[in-house]
Amino acid sequence: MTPRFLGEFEQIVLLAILQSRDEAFAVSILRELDRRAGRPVSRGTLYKTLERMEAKGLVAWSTEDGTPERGGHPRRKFTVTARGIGALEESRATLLKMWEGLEGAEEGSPS
Amino acid sequence: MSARDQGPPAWVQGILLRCLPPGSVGRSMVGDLHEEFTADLRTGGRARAVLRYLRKAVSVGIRFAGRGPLRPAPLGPRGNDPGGAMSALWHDLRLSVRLLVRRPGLTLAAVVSLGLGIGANASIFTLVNTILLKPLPYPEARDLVGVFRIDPEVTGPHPTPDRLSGLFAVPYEVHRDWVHMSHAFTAAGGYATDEATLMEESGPASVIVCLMTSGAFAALGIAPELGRTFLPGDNRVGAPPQAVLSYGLWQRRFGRDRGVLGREVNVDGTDFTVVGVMPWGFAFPNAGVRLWISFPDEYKTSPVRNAGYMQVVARLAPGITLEAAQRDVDEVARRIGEVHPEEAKDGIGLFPLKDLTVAGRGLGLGVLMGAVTLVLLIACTNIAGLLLVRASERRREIGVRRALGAGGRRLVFQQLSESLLLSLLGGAAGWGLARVGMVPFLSLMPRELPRINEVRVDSGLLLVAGAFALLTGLLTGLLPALKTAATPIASAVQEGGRSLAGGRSTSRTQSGLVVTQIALAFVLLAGAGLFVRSMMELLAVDPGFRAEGIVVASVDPPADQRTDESALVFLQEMQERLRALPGVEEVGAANQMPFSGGWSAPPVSVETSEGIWEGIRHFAVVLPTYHAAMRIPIVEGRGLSPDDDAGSEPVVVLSETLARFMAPEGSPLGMRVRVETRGDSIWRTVVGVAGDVVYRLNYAPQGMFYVPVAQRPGRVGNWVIRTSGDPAVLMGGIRRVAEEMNPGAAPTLRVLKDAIEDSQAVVASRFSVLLLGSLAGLAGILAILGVYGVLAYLVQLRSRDIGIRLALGAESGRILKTVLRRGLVMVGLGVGIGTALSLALGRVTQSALFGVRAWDPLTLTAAGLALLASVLAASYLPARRAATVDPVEVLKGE
Repeated sequence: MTPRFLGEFEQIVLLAILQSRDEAFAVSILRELDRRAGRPVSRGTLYKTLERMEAKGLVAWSTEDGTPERGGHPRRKFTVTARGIGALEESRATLLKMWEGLEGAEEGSPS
Repeated sequence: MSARDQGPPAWVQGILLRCLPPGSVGRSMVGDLHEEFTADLRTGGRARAVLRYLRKAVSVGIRFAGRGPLRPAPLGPRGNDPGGAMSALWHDLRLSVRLLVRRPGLTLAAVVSLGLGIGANASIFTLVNTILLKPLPYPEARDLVGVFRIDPEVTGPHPTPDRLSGLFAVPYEVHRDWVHMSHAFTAAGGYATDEATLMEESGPASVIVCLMTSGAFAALGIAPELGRTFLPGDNRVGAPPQAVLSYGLWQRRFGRDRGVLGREVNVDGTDFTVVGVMPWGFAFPNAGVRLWISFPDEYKTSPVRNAGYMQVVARLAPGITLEAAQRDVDEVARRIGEVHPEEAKDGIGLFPLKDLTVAGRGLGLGVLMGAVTLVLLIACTNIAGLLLVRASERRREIGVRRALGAGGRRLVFQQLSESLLLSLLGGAAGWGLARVGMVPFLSLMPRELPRINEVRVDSGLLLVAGAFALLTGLLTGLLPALKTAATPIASAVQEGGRSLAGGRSTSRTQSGLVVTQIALAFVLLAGAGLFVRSMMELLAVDPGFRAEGIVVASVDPPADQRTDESALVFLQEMQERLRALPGVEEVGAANQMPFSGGWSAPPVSVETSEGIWEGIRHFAVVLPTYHAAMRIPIVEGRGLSPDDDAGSEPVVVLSETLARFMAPEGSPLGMRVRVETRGDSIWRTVVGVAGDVVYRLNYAPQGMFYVPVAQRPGRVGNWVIRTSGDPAVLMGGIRRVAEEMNPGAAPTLRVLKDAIEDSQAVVASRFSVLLLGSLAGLAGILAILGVYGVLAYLVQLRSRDIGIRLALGAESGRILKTVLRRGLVMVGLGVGIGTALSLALGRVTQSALFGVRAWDPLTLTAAGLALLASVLAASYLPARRAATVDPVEVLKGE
């Protein structure tokens, strides 16, 4: 079942993977999160989120061989699955629908 | 850069790999951290890179160790892990870590209370071990003995070291006989500590010196750091005065200059040639000694045999037992008795030097060790209670695991691994606490405590803390573990972990634990109360004189004015000058004073109604104004007067105790006394009786003589200056006079009231009060937490029952009372058992108390009431929660 709505952090992580394009390794995702969303995220949180989204079928990963800089340890490259993209779009549409007619309201809502 | 320096710390990586998910997932995470580490290394230093790496590793590790899905170890048919025992152990530990991380509040509370308990125990045990158990810091220390003169009339034929306390020391002449006549020792020699004035560059300073013979150094067997100790030739009459410095003095005064040998130090106006320096830590007979000097000739040539100022230390010859040595000195005593018939009744006693060093300290330290053990026990029962609750919450899980074939032993181990982990964490916290707190703690200890300088904060402490941690781990885990193993499979699974049966049995066990806690806390609280009362009694002792408004100054005549005549002139001039100070009411002086060290007790002959009695009694040589200055009342006859001088009839004033001893019914006035010191053996007539004084608060008044200094000239250096105003204001004037009268000396000045409050008995009891009080407070808090915990658990467990009862119309006031009653029963049982324990322990604590009985009903009642009040307060919260249970909410949950 496709989730009806993604959590905020999940959305940001999925978008960070998409933004990283061919370089969507954990390290670059973190950098992207920091740069674009201005959000320093702890490693543990990111790994946990990725693990959870993998279980939901929102992301997938493939393994690449390790390099000397990594001490020979493999690295995982993440991609957003079709299901993930669908969930992202649905979340965006929901948000947009909710925002309809409210543009500018945040500046001067009557109180 | 070596290959090792390029990577992150391998051990961290190893731990991480074990915590993280297996396979490439975990390895890729480790790789990510490695990659960033490499980048950090390029831009910054290694230290920074390692720090950042550690931070990230902890972030990742905690997430996966603590929040991961719980994965009990895969179990084989009989609970045996197919991966082997080590793997099973690893699994159990991981599971335990997760359980602990999941409830950080509970874990923290447990670790803190265990940390406090273990820290206190490790510290006190280190103290007890160093002072009471460890051999003295000399080679073959077991062969060292103290040699004492035994007066069967005073000490009994078999005195214990506690009762000797330096009273039965000997003069040089007798010591020389012992050393020469005995065959049981490889070396033996005498020593005597004394306060003296050491000339420093900054002026005279008061220091503790120890007069030593070469034999004493030889017996101890410690080689000097520099130069030599004394040689047998140095004991000869006419040998030049020599000194051996302590390491501390060498360091402070001479900057550890190795050229110090051959230089001179001036002690009490005499120049001593430095011949050696002792190594760091050599503290004989105590840590206060700054230097050791040879005995001046006046000691060596004195024929006096019945005084006492030096003690004797000896080393048993190889293969000689203490008993054999005792037979040898018995023979020496017999032969001395043949030559000196008046000494025929005296014996010679041998005691292990260690027993003498720590004499009388075992009890206080024992009480302390007992108290901290109680605190640890209370902490243990608290943790056991918590684990018990946890185990009963996991009844269902455990039931399932048992149903799936997990062996009881395995489940017990799992439970134990959790408590062991907790206690190891507590042990680490305790070790940290002890390490940080030990030095300030030691500075609180009474200064007179022997061997305190030998206490080290070292790896031994870690070992002790570790041992205590293991012990507590077993203690706290065993009960819950056994209960777990005994969980019946079927019932646990069927109940679904919600039934009351398991909970009830748990709460019964838990209540038992809480009752134990209250009982232990009561023992501590009552103990603390007893020590508080003991201290109050001590401070309320009437010393027999009025200490208020008195300054005590120790000022001796200069070295060139110590002949009898010039010393008397000095005394008179000093007295007049002190009297002239503004605000001074009266000035007296004595050779020894209450609350200023030991008292000499020479042999005396006394006329009694039944003939001549011979024995040992205290005596003081005084200025005639002494009693007036001290406000010691003259209760019969007259006091000493300035007219009692060398030309008039020799007189003496007695203390009341002695007066009663000499003349139980009539008046002692006119009876005669002979004091035998320094060859002074004239008969003196009793002219008056003065009120009793105590010279230590916890000692009963002793029989005393007061002799006027004009009739028995000698060193009378303790000045008593009474003022109508604030004694502290007078200090400057007194110091000025003292310094003018003896420019080479460093006068020590004290307000007598302060001296009493700082006296050994008061300091020791204040220390006991402080320590026992805080331990009792801690124990009380732990017990209160325990009661709160068990009642809160009970209320939670029975909230359904309570809800139904409320729905059926029960009054909430009754529910409140039911829960409070439960608390009351626990505290009642606890206090009852605690009282029994206190009474049983009373026999031990009694001798550490002063003026109050160990079963003092007032103190015991107060302790009981205090516990009762606080436990009831702790019961109120859960009771109120029970009374305000909303039946609708509870039943909705069903």
